[in-house]
Amino acid sequence: MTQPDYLIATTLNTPVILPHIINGLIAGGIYALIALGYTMVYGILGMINFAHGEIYMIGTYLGIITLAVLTAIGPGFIVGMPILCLLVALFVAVIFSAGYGATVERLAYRRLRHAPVLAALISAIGMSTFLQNYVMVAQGKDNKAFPAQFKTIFVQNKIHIGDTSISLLEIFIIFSCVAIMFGLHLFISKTRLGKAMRATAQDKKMASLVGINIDRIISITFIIGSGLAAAGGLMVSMYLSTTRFDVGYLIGIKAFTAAVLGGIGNIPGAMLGGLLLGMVETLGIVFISPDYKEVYAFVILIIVLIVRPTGLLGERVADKA
Amino acid sequence: MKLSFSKVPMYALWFTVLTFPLVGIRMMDDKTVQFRLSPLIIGGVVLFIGALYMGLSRVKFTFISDAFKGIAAPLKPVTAGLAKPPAIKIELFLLCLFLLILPAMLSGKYMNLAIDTGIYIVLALGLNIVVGLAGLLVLGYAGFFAIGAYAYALASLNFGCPFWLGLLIGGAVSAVFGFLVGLPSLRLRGDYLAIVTLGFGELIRYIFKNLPNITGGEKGLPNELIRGEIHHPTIGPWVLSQPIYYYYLTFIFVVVTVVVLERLNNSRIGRALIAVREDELAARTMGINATKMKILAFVLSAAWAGFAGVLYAAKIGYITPEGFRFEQSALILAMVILGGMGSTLGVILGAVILYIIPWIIRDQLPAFQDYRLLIYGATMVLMMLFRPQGLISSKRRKIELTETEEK
Repeated sequence: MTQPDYLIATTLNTPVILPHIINGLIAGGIYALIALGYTMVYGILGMINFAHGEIYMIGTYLGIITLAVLTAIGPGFIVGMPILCLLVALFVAVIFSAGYGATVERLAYRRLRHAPVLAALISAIGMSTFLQNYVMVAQGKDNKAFPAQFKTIFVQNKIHIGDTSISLLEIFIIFSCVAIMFGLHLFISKTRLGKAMRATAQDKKMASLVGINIDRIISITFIIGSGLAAAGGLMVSMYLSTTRFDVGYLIGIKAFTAAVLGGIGNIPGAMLGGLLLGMVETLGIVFISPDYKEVYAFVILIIVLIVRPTGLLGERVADKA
Repeated sequence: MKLSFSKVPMYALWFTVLTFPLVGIRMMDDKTVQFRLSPLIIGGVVLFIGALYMGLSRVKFTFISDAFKGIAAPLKPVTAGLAKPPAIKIELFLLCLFLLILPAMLSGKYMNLAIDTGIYIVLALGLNIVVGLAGLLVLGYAGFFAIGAYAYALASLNFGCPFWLGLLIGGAVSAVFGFLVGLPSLRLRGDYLAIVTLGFGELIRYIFKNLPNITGGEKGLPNELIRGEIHHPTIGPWVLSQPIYYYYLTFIFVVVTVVVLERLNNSRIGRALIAVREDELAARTMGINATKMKILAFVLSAAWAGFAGVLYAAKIGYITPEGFRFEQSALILAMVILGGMGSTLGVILGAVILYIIPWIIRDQLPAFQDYRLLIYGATMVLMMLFRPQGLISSKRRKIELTETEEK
């Protein structure tokens, strides 16, 4: 798997730090979106959903495919209403990815809910390999390009701050990440369903005794997590203009690192961890070396797991085997 | 799984719709899209499997199960014998004899296949120490494999280190890394340990990739900067460079590994490891130093990957970081799982199946080679769902995997 240059544009020559901070925020926001999926599933099932990175990858493909179909149906669409097209793509990507997430849970995890952790984890790894190669077989090994026409209006419009400029796309990504996370926070803390999810995470048996349908709540968790990953996927593929069948693996590990960093099972923790990881990674590239850009996440992951497995905000004690 | 007849078409419809955008629409290079009927085929397959499953679960096909019993009955002593620790048995003796004369029938690429399969058997058995016996999931096993291979390649290229010394060096360096990784991470829960080792495996690969002056970077070893060749093993004046020598070397390697594993399995240490895996608290109460046992298993397993790495480097003569990807770790893990965690014979069978079948597919049916990893993934999921103990189960392991935990 040759990993494509991912998420971080390494423009080292400029002495200005602001563009790097923006890059870091974007990467961090995306990591946070994906990390939410890991952390919600871990909070409820106590397992690492290894296939989550693949759901993200499926999201990137679905967005690009939808736009390609729209372009094929009527080239006029792009000129006329690019934003509407993007919304349609987002809708399709989120809905279908959520479908994939729920199906994966139903097929590969539900039967193993009471099995030892090892069995569920192995099943998840198998599912991850399966999905990756499923997309490879269906769509081919080559990079798929995000239709450039949809991007141009976002990239051409820039806001200048001193020497640096921020494109509309970058602002859009940062704001949507914040909005989505805020929405999720409201959903979890205010709605009935959110309350049921929190109850399930605390004690499944007790929650079922007070009339919560555990299977349904778990499905919903997977649906929400997968939808968020797909939204992140669409934004990243728009930002980087390309995707490939194996992009999910690396970003999955990084998002998982973000979840662990913030404290796995803890939703605000995932957001914090994501942003922190994005910043650390970008600053590492600027101040240490771009050669190791993929390594920083692994180093952070290992250090956090060894030194403070509960993460920054986690209360949950990682109990011994 | 409880299914009712009316739901089967619903499932088929669900899969057809779900797979439609990814499978049914293909983007062509000239920016057009092509619609395909494949999702309908997927739906049809789901319909077929569902109907078959329903049919089979409603109708009692006693004659089929009777037939199976009829076939299985004479096989039973054989399979029972296989599961037992191999005392010196006639079957085993014949198998060894067959494997010893096998090179006479093999040529060229098949010889190569046999050697590679042997190396993977060693790797899978090494991973089995830590996954099967100790019950610790290691996802970065290729990292240890890489360390062994690089340790020997570097020693051989820079200092002219001979193979046998290199074997010790590779094993030792890998074991040291195993110790360094294991010491802090074995305090963690099972799935955290898995992730730490995954991170370690990737880290090792990136480090080898990013040190062009020392490890040759992406170009691998040897390259224009670090010249020479990775030495073949020698015995006195003879250089064992021909594939046939490697065949026998690998064969001896496998036999030694099997013997060590069997001895380990039935030793005090092996029983202690199994006790720790089954119930750490109870094992500690009985006076077993659980942490020490786990580290021991981890180090031993790492050392084995190191040995295999040295053998691999000497045999292939050229190594790159790309040869030690996560894919490799997943493949070795799949071998252990398919065969049966903790069962030596099962793991060997798993390695043989998962190495030889994909090889044949690549060799004879290149059109299907993209499906290789798809099948690995599906195998891992299906094994966990329907037969977590593997093809040939270790009796002790079986009990652990099939019991349900109260949560």
